[in-house]
Amino acid sequence: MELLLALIVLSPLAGSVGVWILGELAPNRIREFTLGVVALTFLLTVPVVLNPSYESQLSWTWVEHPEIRFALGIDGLSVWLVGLTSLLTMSCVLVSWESIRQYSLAFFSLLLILESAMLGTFMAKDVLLFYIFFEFTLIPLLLLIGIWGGSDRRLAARKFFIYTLSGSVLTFLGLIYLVLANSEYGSGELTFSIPKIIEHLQLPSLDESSVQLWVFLALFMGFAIKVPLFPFHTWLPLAHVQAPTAGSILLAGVLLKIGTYGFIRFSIPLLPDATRYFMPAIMVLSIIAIVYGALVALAQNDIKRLVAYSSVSHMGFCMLGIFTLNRVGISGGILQMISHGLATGALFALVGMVYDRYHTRQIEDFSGLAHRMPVMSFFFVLMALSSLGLPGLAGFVGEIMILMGAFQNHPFYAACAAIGIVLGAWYTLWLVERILFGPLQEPIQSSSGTDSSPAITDMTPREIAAIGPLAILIIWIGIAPQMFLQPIHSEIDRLVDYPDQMVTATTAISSSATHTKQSDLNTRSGDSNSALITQPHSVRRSSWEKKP
Amino acid sequence: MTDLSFVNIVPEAILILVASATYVGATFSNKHRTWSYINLAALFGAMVFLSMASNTTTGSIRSDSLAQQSKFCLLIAGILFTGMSWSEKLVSRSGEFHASLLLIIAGSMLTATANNLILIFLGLELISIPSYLLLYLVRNDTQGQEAATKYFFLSILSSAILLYGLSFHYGIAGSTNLETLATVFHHSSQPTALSLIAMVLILSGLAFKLAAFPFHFYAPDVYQGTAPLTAGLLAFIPKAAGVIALLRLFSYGVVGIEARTSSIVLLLGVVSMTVGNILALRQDHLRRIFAYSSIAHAGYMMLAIAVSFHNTPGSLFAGNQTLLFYLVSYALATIGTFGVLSYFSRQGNTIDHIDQLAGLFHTHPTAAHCMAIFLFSLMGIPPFMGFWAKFSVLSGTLNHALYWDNPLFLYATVIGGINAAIAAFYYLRIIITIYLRQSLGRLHPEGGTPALASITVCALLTLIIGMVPNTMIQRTGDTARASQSILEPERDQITSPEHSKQQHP
Repeated sequence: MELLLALIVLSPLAGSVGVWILGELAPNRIREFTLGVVALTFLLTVPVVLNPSYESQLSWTWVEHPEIRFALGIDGLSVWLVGLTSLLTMSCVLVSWESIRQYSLAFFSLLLILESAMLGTFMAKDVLLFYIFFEFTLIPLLLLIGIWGGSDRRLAARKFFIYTLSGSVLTFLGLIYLVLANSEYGSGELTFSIPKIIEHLQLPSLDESSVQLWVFLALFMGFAIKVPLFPFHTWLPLAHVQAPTAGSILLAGVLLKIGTYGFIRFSIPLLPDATRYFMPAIMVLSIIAIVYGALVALAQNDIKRLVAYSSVSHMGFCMLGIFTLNRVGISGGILQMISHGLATGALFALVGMVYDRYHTRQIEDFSGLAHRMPVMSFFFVLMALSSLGLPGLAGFVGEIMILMGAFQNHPFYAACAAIGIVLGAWYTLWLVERILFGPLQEPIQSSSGTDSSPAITDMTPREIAAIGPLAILIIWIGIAPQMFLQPIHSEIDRLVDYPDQMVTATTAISSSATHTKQSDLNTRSGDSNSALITQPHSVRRSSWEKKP
Repeated sequence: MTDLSFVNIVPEAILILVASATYVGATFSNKHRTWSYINLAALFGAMVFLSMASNTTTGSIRSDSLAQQSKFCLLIAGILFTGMSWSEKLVSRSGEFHASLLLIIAGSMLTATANNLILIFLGLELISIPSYLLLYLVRNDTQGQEAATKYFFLSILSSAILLYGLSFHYGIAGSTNLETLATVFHHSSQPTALSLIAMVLILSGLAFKLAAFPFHFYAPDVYQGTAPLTAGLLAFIPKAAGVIALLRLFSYGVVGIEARTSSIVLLLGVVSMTVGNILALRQDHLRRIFAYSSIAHAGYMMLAIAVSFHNTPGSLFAGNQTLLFYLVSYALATIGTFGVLSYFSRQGNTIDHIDQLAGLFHTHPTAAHCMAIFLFSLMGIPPFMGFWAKFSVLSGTLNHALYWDNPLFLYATVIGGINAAIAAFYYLRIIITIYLRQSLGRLHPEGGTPALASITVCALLTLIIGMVPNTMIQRTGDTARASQSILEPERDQITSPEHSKQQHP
């Protein structure tokens, strides 16, 4: 089992070397080989993810003195993120099958390196190892955006890199501080082990010194830029829009989650006083992100840009949930990370498929695509509905739990955040209406001349294979969230032991609330499913009838 | 016994003898390849004798762990430089070029192995004098002359300052032997004012070698005015020798004034890295960029020096370990970077402007990948060696700040972190130029296979040590501990917290 953990992280890395070797021997088999490596990694994660004990830990000595270990492990916080990463990478390979023609060797090897780094970030049990993987995601993504990106790729790549690096340098100092402080305020030993530090480190409270605040801010800079939280989000739309489809999927699906994961992993358990101190401010920033992201998304003309800004809004929900600091809110936040990863990742993939066919992403160029590509439209509507939070799909569970958590602490904040849901429904449904429904109108293709219609096909089986698993999971989480919440809950019970009377009072409510909501969900799952199918029909009846 | 101690200086002797013979022979033959082979033979021969060296100290020659390890590294650097200068298109006077290279290596090795103030000074001069020649040899246009002249005058000045500082040490102890000096400094209650003056003068003299603020002004002009390979030589060898000399001299010279010295060094380091990084942002000339980058890295090294005066409990790395590790990491990346620049240059037609590297990835992928590894390492991005170097420096200053409760070191840590982000701007600019722009199609690899091989070796070492840093960290740690324990038997009792805090106003 221990070896399995190492294999999960190292097999994509080995695969990327294999790609280079294979490039010499059989250059036209690279895609198949990459898919094999990625699928193997996914299969390796399955037993680890489904094993409920999460006790197996790998710990190899990496550096003897100071003792830095190559320590990997999975717990309730990271288990679904690891699964999500390996699943989305598989979709990425499938999506990039045809669209990457230039330097495909380098592309697939970078993709594998990136997968390795992302898995390592979530699985690392050593502070330095965490940071190394965290930082190492930058290089492959820089090159993925920069070489295979859109027209403005160089600026996007540079902005992404510089932004993330500047934040993470401060995070790095904060993490080193935590290690060093452990010898004074903790167990006294010099250790980089995350579980040990979390167990022993007790920084002085705010009455004694302001050190917690400073360390929190240092960690905050890196994680908040990664999320991205409201004032630090400006790199994201640019990077998303310019990145190749696979880059966008991983950026939205996995890399943004590293930020929120960092908050849950380090800031909240290690800096409890500072977390409570900054809680109102971060909640306000999250709400600004939710509303602002949604409003900006409303104004976009580019589908990819719209989805990018919706990411800002949805990640605001994650942050809001996590910083409610109660059980429901945090588990909602974590679940929202997963469902956002699935839905937005899939949306980016679908946008990429549309772009591959028409070479444009402008909303006004499209209308009634559902006539041309019914399967694609089905998936698009499904993902859109999930991301706007339709009951019965994954997005709903996360959002409702976040709002419930927020309501327990600050009803006003919850009310403000609810505006975001309304706006989310607005921009998502409006987008769906404009591009999928109505009379068929396609952009004139410059490449294949006037007779473009035969060239445009619906989703190929390969593309369905890329999206299908994500769709199944989205429905699965929506119908039976308890299975996914189980491991998260057991971990959060250890996290949320704040001696705050408000929180302890709410824990009791929250656990019962989860149960009631659970039964509520189960009873409603039937009609919410039918709503999923019927709603677009009933709303868009008129446009369907205009079909020529 | 005498036989054994003689072995310790045989490597330097070989290099100097071969260099002298080459100077004479160069008047008869200007065959580049011959001199390259002779150079390699001398360097490998020196390495064989180095492996026989014993751990003894006799008279003016000290052969401790620090000396042996740094001599080994310097010989490796010499071999790499010889490999990079394999092509005859780089220099016209190859005999003189190769002999000067050997002398520079010999000088730096002599500095590392010196147990005597005079020998330290001699070693440093043995680096400087062939450098003047080298600067003039590779480029004899106006810019080259300017560079040579500038370097010559400033180097002479700094040598004079250093010599003046050393004379204070002689005045205090009445001896030039390092061990005698150490005993006197540790035991007598000499007036601190004298050793303070000496410290400032020595620091000023050696700051020139390190290219640290405020003695950094020459670096951009000189690097720009010479060939890439010579610039690489100047960016590494004087810096390494200066650092080693500083380690030797400060190991006893700062007794009683640790806190003040470390504040001064820290301040210079912080200013140096900030100035270097900010000035590098607006440069388009590659060698100027790397000159400023070298100034910035000198700043990080000075941070490591500032921390090493106190044995701070709970620190992740021992004393000078950080500094040695940083030096090796810097060496690999810098030699490699200038090696890549030199690979595409020939005499009279060097690669200067950053745009000339555009699209290197498309035309010469191996060189491009190597260059990217060096730049990421200089930037301090994992998993390259530079990350560990930066990690050790910053963790050292942070730990110092926490343990001695010294806010200066805390600010230095934060500024060091911010500087790493600033530096990313200009390194990234080069990477983006190499990978994300279209080729202008004017680059011709002139260096030949040996040059490319040397570059690849640097890149692979940077990558492998970055991934498996254990051996390197342990080795630098052992070296640092061994070299510390000989000269400073009573350091622990000298640096008590009260003592240190008294020094801080």
